[in-house]
Amino acid sequence: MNSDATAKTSIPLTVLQDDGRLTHYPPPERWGDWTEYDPKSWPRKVPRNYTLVPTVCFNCESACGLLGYVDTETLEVQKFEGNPLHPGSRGRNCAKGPATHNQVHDPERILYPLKRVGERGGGQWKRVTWDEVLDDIGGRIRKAMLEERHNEIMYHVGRPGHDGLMEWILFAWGLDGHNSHTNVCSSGARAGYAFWTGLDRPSPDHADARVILLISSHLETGHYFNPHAQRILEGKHKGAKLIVLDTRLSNTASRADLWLSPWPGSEAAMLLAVARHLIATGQYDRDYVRTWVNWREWLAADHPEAEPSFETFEQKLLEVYAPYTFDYAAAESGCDAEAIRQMAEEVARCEGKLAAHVWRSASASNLGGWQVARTLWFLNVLTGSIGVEGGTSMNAWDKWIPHPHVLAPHPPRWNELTWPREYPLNFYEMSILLPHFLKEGRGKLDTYFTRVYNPVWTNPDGMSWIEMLRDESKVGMHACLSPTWSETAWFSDYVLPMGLASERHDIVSQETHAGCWIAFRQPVRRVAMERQGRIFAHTYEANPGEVWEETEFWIELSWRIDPDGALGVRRSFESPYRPGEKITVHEYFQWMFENTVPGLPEAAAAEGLTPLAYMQRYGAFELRQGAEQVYDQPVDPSLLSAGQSTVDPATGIVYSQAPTGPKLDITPMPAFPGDSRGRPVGLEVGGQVLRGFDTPSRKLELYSQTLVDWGWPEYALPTYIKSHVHPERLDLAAGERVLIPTFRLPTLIHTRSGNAKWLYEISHRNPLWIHSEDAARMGLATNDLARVSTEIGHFVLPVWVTEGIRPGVVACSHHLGRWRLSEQGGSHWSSNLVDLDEPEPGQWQLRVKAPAGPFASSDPDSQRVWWEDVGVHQNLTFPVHPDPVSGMHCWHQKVRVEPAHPGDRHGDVAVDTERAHAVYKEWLALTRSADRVSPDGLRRPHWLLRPFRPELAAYRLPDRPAAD
Amino acid sequence: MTDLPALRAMPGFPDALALQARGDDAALVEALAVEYQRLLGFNLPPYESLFVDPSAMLQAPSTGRVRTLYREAGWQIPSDVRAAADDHLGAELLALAELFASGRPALAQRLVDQHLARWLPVFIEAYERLDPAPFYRTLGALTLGTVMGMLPEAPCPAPRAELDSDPGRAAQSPRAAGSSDPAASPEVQALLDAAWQDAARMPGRAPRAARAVEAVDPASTPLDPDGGLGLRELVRQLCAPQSAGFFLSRHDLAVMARAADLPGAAGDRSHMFESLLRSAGAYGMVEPVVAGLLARIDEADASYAAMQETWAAWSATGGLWRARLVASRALLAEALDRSERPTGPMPI
Repeated sequence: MNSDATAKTSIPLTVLQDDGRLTHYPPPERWGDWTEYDPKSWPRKVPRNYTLVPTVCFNCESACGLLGYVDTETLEVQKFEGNPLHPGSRGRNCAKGPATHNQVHDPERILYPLKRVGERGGGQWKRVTWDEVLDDIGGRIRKAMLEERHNEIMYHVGRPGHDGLMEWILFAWGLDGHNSHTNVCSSGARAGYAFWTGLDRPSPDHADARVILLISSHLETGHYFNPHAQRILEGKHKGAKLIVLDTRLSNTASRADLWLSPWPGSEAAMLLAVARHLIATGQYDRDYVRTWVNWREWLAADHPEAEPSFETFEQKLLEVYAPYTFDYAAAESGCDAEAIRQMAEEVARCEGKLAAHVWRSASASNLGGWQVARTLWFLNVLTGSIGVEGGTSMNAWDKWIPHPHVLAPHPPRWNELTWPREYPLNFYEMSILLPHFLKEGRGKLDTYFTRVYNPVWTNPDGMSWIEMLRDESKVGMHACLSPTWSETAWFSDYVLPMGLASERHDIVSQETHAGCWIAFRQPVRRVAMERQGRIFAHTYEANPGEVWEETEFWIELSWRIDPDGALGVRRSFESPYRPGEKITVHEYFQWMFENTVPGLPEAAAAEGLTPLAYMQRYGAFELRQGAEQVYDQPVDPSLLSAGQSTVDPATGIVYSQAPTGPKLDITPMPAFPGDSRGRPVGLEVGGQVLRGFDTPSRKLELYSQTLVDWGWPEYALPTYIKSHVHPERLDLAAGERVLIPTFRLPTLIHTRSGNAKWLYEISHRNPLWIHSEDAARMGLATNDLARVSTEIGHFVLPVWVTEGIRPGVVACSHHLGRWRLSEQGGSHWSSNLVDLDEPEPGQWQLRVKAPAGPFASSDPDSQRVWWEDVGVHQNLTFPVHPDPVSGMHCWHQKVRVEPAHPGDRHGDVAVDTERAHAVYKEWLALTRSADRVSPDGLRRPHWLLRPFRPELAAYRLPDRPAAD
Repeated sequence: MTDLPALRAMPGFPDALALQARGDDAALVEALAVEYQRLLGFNLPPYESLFVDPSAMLQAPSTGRVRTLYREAGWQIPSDVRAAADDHLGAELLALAELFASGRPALAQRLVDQHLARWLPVFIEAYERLDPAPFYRTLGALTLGTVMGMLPEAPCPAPRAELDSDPGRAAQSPRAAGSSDPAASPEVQALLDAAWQDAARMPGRAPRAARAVEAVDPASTPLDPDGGLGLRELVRQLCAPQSAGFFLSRHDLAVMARAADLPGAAGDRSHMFESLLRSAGAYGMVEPVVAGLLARIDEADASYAAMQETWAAWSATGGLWRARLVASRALLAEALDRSERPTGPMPI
């Protein structure tokens, strides 16, 4: 205890916030020296002194602020509370934030780097040093690069949780080696938004909206759950109407002013009925649509014979959408036509303040789900609710990723394992197809990093992932970067423990509301000790065990890949302050805070701090408050100087050859390199040159020439595509139902919260939701076991009879049902995994039963991976369903539900991976390959968003060389 | 890296290493590393707080008490030792060696009496159930023997203080409680009461004194698949050695699941255990699972009794651990009784 600690008081402070709320937070000026009573000593009053270190939660994607309370005597983290200075979360957290404490102090977490011994998946591990890991992997990657096998190096991320880092790393390595989890998550929504605006993600201003329209259980589990939920409720308190489309009676639905429970996949039909109502009744913002929609382009393309006037457009628009009556939408959705009308009338009354959002849910679940986002955005367009207060912005307007001191050029390579020709419009990497591509011999991986990514469990068709990962001829080396064990880690060669929210440096910026901010995640013990004068070379010296952080790991690894700089990798990792020397983690962030975060140096100077010290102290910086109508702003006049700019008379697009200033923000954007006139910089509107949208027309693209040119003319306009689980494709009488397998539970986050006891204490089951009528028909009561059969197998679980779901539809949360493979002696993989039998190739049975034969008592627990809970792991039984346009895995399943068969047990899973491969081929056959449809010899429209974008030359199809 | 020549020069180890050897020295070192990871990496994290704190987590209040002792001794864990907490077994043993080496036997004795001797036997009991390879078996026995051999000749007082998270509160040392029937001893009952009171101070715990031997709230049905408070309480009690009296490892749970032909669901131990109990309830296998747990408790009891026999000075502490086992038996009997009652609807 500090000698003067007892003299300090611990008076809870009342803080008046800007918005008038009262709350209690230690004032920031006292964060460095904060004393309060030790709660565990209650009822005695024992003061403890803390240094409060801001950091950022690493559990979900919201990146809420945390304050780590580090005991200045013991240097242990006593607790995590909210950071009131974080603009996104404003000091408030969900259960997952404070539970970081559980994760940090979990005695069963991975504390040291481990290397497998024996065969992969055999379950034997030994502890190794970071030096051994770096030398081995670095040497391997170097060899691959020297042999021009760059495309065999892949980094596959589940939850990024940070911004900008991997662009820096992978560009330096010259790879097109990034893979993501996106196509099990948001490809559908991204495609729907991007064809309209060029950008791929909505940023609604819920707090100031008049109407909030959600297609999700957003209040409890949605993307940016905590920042959005608090603002949705604020909006409601200020009078906003909350409309929710959710097949389940979720907590969100229960808070709605209007809840509609549509048949899964019918959402776009309902939204188009709303659009039709707005158009037909003239209740839309005509000036806005006239100014910002590319209606002239549509008329020129589809109605060249007609007078190219706005009135003609209005007439044609009504004709196109006339079929989407309330009655039609009611027939498709099973909802009451009057309720749909009510929704339309509410939207019509939004006065340009419609905050609307879809991210996963319907857009991630249905064939054509991308049209759900596209038709939802249509309502924002018609009401003019874009980029304005109470409306919806695009993510790039509210997000800032600082440019690092060096960013290597776009790589000169294209990786067809992630960006195959069959999906020229995908958003983005075709991650779920990797096992099938390797099975087909499309390539192999030399070095495969998985990072906070658990495809064996999270992805559909997990058994195919197991088959891939255990095959060393397909995956030469697998390194799993993860704070905890996972099913995927089991099939790795290295398990590399990377830090939790309080054990790493990262920058993160999310579009959580009308505003823009960046936040700084920090290893709080290291920072606390640095405040006491300690100096560390590596964060693992301050973390528990030898848990490291990725920024330092990649710097060290890059240096070992190219120690003499001959490969051109090393130069990206040289210090901007000490030429030729290796950059430190502090220098990496210091340079960005000093140079590429506008306003931060000034804010820091005002407090007598360096920009780095400012971020270390406060953990967040707000670049802007409020919505910004970016597209409506005048173009920088320096770009329009005489002789350097040109206006295209046909389109109004303004081109400029004037040089631009240095790039400060590397948030991915569409690319428009331009032509001999220069690059497009704006749009002439009413005599002014405004920025416009980041689309080829620089307008909102109701009509997508891109979709027409790239083989999908039938989708030129927002439309409704009947889902693969449309009632026409179901035989309800035969017991077929739609399974909704996508919903989250509020307190869990995929497979990352497994070591947080507090969270599992709250939620730990995933029974099958089934309507009482269906249950009665099938003779099922709550807790009875049901067998649910998919296209490739089945699973068995108890049912929960409820009227909180539609008849004909069943639902099961994907957050539970993790399983552990028990061990058994023997060297063969399948015989090691007692509970996972493969009696014939491709015929998998996850049956939890006693192993045959005696259990050798020396049989090590290390021959075992642990899986969570006794719920059912349904995703194993889902084949891949990649949408032929967006690439989104269409999660909903047509299933057959029946009472369990004799001998069935809760948790039984049966899967046929040969059948899974056949279903993959059926969906692949729906695609229209760039080989066939590319209008310009490229693999993908060059303007379209693409993370980790290669150079333009790499876009060219090998057999379609450029004309020149 | 393992220093094989040094190990081979130590009594007892040459044989153990010879038994374990498969191939050359490099293969032996690797085998030792794998076994280390199995034992201490996966199954049995060697931290005092897991055994003496009701939370069974790292960095618990008990860790602070170890740290305080180090500080009093002016000793610090070497900076190249990267444990997740200061009460790692290796750190405590290193401190012990250095305290003796630097001529401070009183502090060394305190480290033994108030820390190592209180949890190491329980740790070793769980460790030996993992059937360690010969080298580690020898190492475990040697470690336990060394520490226990440092206990004073006279039976040391029962460690009431360890039940009390407030080290400042005067610890009343009851008389030795090493009788063959611990439950019969009024001292043990007093200790049990103290244990429950201590546990009741944990967040979320109802202050039900001596819950193991008194009737519990009938609404709380430990093996009800509804997952009411009772089941979680049971799991919490039995997963924390401080209340259960023994360390229930992943290995134990897997063995029990296999024996009952039940899912080997997992996660952390408490999660695995709760899953096992739920599935036992679902398939009418509560009785064999409870029997497995009781057998596990019996083995721990026999092991502690043997240790009491060997090291008389540990008899009081051993009595306390055995009393905890008695409480765990009572809790399981209660659970078994409740599992036979009808269940209610399923909440979500």
